[in-house]
Amino acid sequence: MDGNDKLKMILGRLLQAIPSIIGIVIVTFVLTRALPGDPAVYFAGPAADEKSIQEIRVSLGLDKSWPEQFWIYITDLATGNLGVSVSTGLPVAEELTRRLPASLELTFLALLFSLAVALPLGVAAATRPNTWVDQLCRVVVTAGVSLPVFFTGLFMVYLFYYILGVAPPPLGRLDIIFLSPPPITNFYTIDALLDGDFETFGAALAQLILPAITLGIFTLAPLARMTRAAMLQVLSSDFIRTARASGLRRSTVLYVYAFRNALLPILTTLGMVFSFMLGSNVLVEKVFAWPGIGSFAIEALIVSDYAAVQGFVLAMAILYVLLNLTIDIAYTLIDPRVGLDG
Amino acid sequence: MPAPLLEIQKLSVEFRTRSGIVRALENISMKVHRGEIVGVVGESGSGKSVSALTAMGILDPAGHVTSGSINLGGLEVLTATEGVMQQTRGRQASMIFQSPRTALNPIRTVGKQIGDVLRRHENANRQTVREAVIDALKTVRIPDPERRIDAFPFEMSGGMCQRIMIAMALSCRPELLIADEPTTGLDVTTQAAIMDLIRDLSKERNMATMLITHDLAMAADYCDRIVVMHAGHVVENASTEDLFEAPRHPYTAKLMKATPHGEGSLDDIESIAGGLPDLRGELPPCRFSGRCDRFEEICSTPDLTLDEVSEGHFLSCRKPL
Repeated sequence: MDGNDKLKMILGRLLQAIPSIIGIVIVTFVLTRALPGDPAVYFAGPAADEKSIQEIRVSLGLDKSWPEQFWIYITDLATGNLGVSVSTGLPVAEELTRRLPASLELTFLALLFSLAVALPLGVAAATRPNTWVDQLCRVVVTAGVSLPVFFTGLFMVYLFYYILGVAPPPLGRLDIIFLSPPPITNFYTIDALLDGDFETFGAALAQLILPAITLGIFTLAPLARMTRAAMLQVLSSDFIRTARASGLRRSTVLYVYAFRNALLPILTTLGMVFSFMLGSNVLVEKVFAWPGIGSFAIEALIVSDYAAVQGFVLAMAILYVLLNLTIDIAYTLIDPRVGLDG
Repeated sequence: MPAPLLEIQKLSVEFRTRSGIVRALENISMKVHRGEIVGVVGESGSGKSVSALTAMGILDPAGHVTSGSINLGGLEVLTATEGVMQQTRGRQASMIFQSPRTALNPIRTVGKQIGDVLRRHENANRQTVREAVIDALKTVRIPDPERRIDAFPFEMSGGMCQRIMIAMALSCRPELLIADEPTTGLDVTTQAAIMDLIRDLSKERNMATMLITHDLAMAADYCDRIVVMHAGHVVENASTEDLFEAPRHPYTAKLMKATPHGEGSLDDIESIAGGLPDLRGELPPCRFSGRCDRFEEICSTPDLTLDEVSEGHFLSCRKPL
């Protein structure tokens, strides 16, 4: 297929995502209102009487019927207005553009770290089954899944910050002595580089390393396991025997023939791990005081901050759609048998 | 007679498995000369493929050669380093396999796969490789090679894929071609076309060809010499004419009766009673003795060998026909 066909298919896939996003908008709206707890009571405070609670309810628009509230919500949404978070007092859209990049930056670096460890480890374990590399892979995988994230996080802070003193204090995205770089992408490392400010880049990266490794240790387990399993399976297939019978170099057989074929299941796992990471890195964010989207969502959920929760779920939904699309496109690049229209 | 290109002598191979040691090959010997097509015939599990893979130096790591030697055009295969063997495979000795669809890399164009072999063994740049690949495709009579070169295996028929395999195997003009059941999984007319192609190319290039098959009738049609294997032993080895005229080993005779041929009906086909013996543990000197109706006391004496009983006719049996 040529580039034009591909573009058409990508657009088609994006259009297909619209019904699911509409569904998500409806479901989150209903679910947030079905949550126990009345936000008006919460925000009015413990000393409030019936009258002030009612006033707050009116000011939040919660006195209206659900269909009316829904209509207001979607007309706002159509103009890009996600509402104001009652707990922080800031527009939800602004919170998201600030916090989502913080989470993404952390997630990407964690993913990069776990790929850098998991892929070579899995390949090495598959090519030398039952040797020390394979045992190492097994230990790392077991440790990765069985160590809770908050434990690894706290342990890292204790070791590298408190005992060794090589890491900066785990207090968010940037040490307070640095000014945050001019916001272009809101990825501090990228913004600092775009600004040519290497000192800030280093400081932002230093803050990132510990939480990224913490998160990465957790996610490298499924990746390493899948790499090993996929490689083992591919290495025992007929075409690898053909490649060896043709005298191809070991490296060619391993990387050009075996690894590329093993990439499909690895990519599937990667997609799952990534979406799982985005939703669940709230523990890491808490340990490292990371101003990410996970902790924002949890806080909003606890106080029934409707606008914030709805904004968060919607942002996640769109992110997942984009993620799945990216993975589908990657499939077609790797495997000629996969069509985008599937 | 000139020296054979491939000479396997007293080769024994064992597989160490969890349930015991499998003696897959025991003291097998055979020779393949240039310009000769040698058929290796036997049931599944008789050790045909293991012999071929060992000769190519790509035996599964679970398999161990316990004795014997393999000489391939002057090279001692069993003592050669992996680097030397890598350079030998594909250039001096090539192998094609059954089910060509799965034997080709599914996500790489056939042109690139043939090109990989050419680039590995011959100094060729991008442009000359493409030309060489097209030449290779022409050799195996693939129509429209300029278009087919960019096709993926899944876009081709099984017969086409096998032609690609042959093109790949022969691209560097090897002296030895091992074809391991090359027509399994293809329909009958395609089978004949593929076998004709293999025969024509072998004769044209004066290659030594080893054809592994369980189809005695096919071996009879295409081979100059036939080696009959049973349960890891070579039981008989003779020119095709001699073998069909007067099979000496009871197993060979039974195989022939079990093979359908032109005249006669289905009822004339006899099956061979029993199955291959379990290759783990103690085995009788003649591994066919359990299925043989000519079995006598003498068959149980040890040290059964493959002997030349008449000019160019080798036999391993104490009660021959």
